[in-house]
Amino acid sequence: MSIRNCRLAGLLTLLLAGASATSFAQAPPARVPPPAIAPTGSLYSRLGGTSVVTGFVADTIDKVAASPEMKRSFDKVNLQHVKDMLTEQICALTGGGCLYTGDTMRDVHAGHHITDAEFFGLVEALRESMRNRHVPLAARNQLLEILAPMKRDVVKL
Amino acid sequence: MVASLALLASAATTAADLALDIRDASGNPIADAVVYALPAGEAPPARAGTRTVIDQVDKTFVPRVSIVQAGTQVFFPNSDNIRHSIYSFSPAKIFTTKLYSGREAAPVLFDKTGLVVLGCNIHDTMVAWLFIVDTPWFARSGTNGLVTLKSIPNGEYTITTAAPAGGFRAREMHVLVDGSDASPVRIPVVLEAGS
Repeated sequence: MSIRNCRLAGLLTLLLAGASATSFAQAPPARVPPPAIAPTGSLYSRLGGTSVVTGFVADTIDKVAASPEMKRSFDKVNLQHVKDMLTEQICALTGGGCLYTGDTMRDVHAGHHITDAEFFGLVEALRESMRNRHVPLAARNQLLEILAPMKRDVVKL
Repeated sequence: MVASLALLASAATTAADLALDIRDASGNPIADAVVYALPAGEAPPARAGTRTVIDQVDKTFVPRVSIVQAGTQVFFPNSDNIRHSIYSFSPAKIFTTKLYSGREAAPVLFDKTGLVVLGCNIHDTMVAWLFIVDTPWFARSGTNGLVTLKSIPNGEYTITTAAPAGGFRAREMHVLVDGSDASPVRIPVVLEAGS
């Protein structure tokens, strides 16, 4: 997967009480969204295209960020940023035509000390989220096969 | 609001220390307030290689409020074991810098005056304020709200006090520094809430 400087996804909202004697002068550069129409024949289209992929990615992240076994890695993390980057990565890996602009899996997970249990927990959450959105079995399995080799760059770093 | 203040003292007669006592309208001391003195004329520029550190600890910036002279390099050492992605959209410095676990990032040069608000793309509760000013005479208040600008050369100055972390409005005063005056003074400064 190609490696680029991470593009800024979404505006930061300063929620500290009484904060912000200043406001940002301009919005961040707009992230390129995934395509409205998935390329024909791609795994991305068989997964259901942008609306379905965006949906099951959001469901997966929400689930793991709330799960007692896995939520520690998401403490204080901007979940929308994670969802945007994961959607972009899946779109890029499954022929959706996106360019992945996030960090490598190694850089993302370095220092987190992700355990095997946490990794498999996320895989399970992803599988369940895809099932709930009626992604066909073959497409679900193909995506998981693509993501499985990432384990060595995610776990125990 | 402008107030002309009395002359201030120090052991030398060509310079003086300026001590301030910064409080809110209820009399509570304000920590992390920055104070800087802009002379009527030109201030000496920052020495080459001037640097400061803003660390990342437990997903917060430390210190939360900083002040540097224009031309200062800021290092972001990232003491956390996880990565951060620091950025600012403030006009004085628009930038992003990635701070990867186990790798030292290059420092960032701040050479334009203004207030820079820092955030992290990954941890959206992280925020810090960095003032870049055209003077070497600046300081930050401690938890007791007290701060001293040391050895300010005699002359006229505009003293600005700002405390953005608490949501206070900045305040300016005009001061004439004259080291030959014998009586030391601690200047009370009251900051009002609001932007």
